[in-house]
Order: sequence, then C-alpha cells, then structure tokens
Amino acid sequence: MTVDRTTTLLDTAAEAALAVPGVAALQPRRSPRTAAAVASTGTDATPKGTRESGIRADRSPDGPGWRIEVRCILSFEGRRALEIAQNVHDRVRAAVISRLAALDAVERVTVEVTVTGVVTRYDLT
Amino acid sequence: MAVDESHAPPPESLGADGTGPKPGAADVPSFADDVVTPCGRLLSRIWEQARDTAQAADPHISSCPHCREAAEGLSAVTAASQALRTGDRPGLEALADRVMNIVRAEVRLGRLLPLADPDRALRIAESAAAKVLRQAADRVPGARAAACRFVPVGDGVDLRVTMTLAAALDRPLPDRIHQVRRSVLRSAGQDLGLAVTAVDITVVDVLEQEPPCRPGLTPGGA
Repeated sequence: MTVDRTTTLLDTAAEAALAVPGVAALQPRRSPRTAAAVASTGTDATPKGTRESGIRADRSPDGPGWRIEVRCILSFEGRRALEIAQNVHDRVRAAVISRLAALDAVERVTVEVTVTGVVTRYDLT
Repeated sequence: MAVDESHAPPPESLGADGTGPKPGAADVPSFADDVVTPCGRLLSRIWEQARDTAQAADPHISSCPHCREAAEGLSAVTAASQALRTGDRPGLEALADRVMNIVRAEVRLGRLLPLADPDRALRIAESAAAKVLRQAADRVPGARAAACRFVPVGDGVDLRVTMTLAAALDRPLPDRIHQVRRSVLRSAGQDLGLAVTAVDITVVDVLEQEPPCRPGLTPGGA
C-alpha cells in the first residue's frame, strides 16, 4: 500500500467532519494559513488553505494514540451547535479509528471539536 | 501542516498514513526546539533534504503527505526570507498584510468556551457565541446589543453572560431587559447548547427610535 493510494488521517477526519449536516466549512488553523500567506504572491489578502488545514493530528501527549483537533464553521439552521459538534466528534472519531484499524493499527483516538464561526439566517438577509 | 510541537519523539513507529517508516535512532532532535511531524520525521531533517539537492533523496520524505507539506511550507519560508534580503518593499508590505490579517482573524475568535457536554471536548469561540446571543437580544423590539462577554462559573461548563445594550425608553426598562434576558437565555440553550446560568445586562445608551424590524422577524423575539 503506497502513501498515494492511502487516505491519510487528516483526509479521513476532514471528510467525516464535512459530511456532518450543519458543518459549512473547516476553519484553517493559523500555522497553515500563515504558510499559505507567505507562499502566496497574488492579491488574495487571506489565503484559505486546504480543507485538511482545518484538522490537526498529533500523537497523544499522555501515551500511545492520536489526538485529533477539528475547527469548523457551522450553519446551524434548525439544529443546535452542540448537537452538530457532538456529531462531528463522534463521526470523526469513528472514521479515524476505522481508518487506523484498516491499517492494522488499533490505537486510542481522542477528538476535540472547536466551533470557530457560525452562519445564521440573519447573515443571509 | 500538522506537527507535534511537544518536541518529543513520537512514542511509536506508525506514520499518520500507517505506512510511514519507523523513526530510528538517527531521528534524535538536533536542537531543543526541533519539531516532529505526525509521521515521525524531524522537521530539521526534512529541511536539510529540501535544501540539499545533492543529498540522496529519502523516498519516504518525497512520498509522505506530511513531509511534503512541511517541505512546501519551508520552501515558502525560504522564498519569504529571500524577499526580505532583496528588499522588495511592495512584496514585503503585501506579505505583512496577509500575515496580519491572519493574526487579527485569530485574535477575533476570542476565548474558547465549553459547550454543555462534559463528556466530550467541544468548544465554541467566544466571538461566534456572542454573535448569536447579540442577534437574540436584537430580536427584542427597542433593544440593540453592544458588547457580549462570557465568564466561566466554577470548573465545569457553566457560564455567565454579561451584555451591554442600547434600549428605547417608550416602555419601562425593567420589562424590556427581562425580555432581552429571556431571549438570550433561550438562544444560548436552544441555538448553541451553552450552559448559561445568568445574564447580566447593563443599558449603556438610549435608542432614539425603534430600529426597523428586519424581514422575516416576528416582533417580540424568537
């Protein structure tokens, strides 16, 4: 199995998060956005980064396993932000565990979800 | 790029993609602030290879998405430092603007508040929560929210809201403040899922005339 044929943990987590109803986008973290800003030579004042840049995957500091951080922007018409965030948490965790299992790596996975922005119906009027 | 900034070598050998090589004895940090990527490579090693084209290419670094992303980011830093050396002022100003926009956007997020789920690590940026609660206050005719802040109560997920607003004087203020408080509490629970235990409201200005109702809104709230 080569890397190019393998979906990475970041891909897996991003895909799972974006599939949750109510998630409008992933919010790129500061460091990849800064890297994109430095790399950019165009007129775009705020480079957006890739969808995976809204995910951070670290080794757990307190033992074997992974710590996944998801930063998302919600559009929660008819849904509570809490329930969307719970859904993101559970789906990302399940997807990453499943991905690791497919790679013969059974490891502990903890997920943190941060809602960085919301789009409400009043923003659209 | 997602990197482990703890500066400690990873506890075991599997790359993020499950196919990365095991970090070996050679991957000992060469300096105190060296960084380890999720696949177990040292950032300094990736940079060495990116800069030294004469060096034998490590097949892992050229195929691993984490290492490739790190190398691309470092190339960007190299390009930026070259721009600094050549003194390209328009380029420098544009670069400074781009970086400062990102810094400002990060600062605007404010503190991270716990959503009301003590079993999962779920948070919301103070700016996002405040925006929703200000809109809830604005739905009360004759009220216009200004500042909205959150104060943690105890060690759990409970929060106290402090809000300032402008209010019209065509009705007794206590009634209007009561309506605003009710609307804010309802929105905190039903729209966000925050455990708000109290809403402190201070009227700091007078609305000369009631603002026009926005399309689609029912006077009186929610």
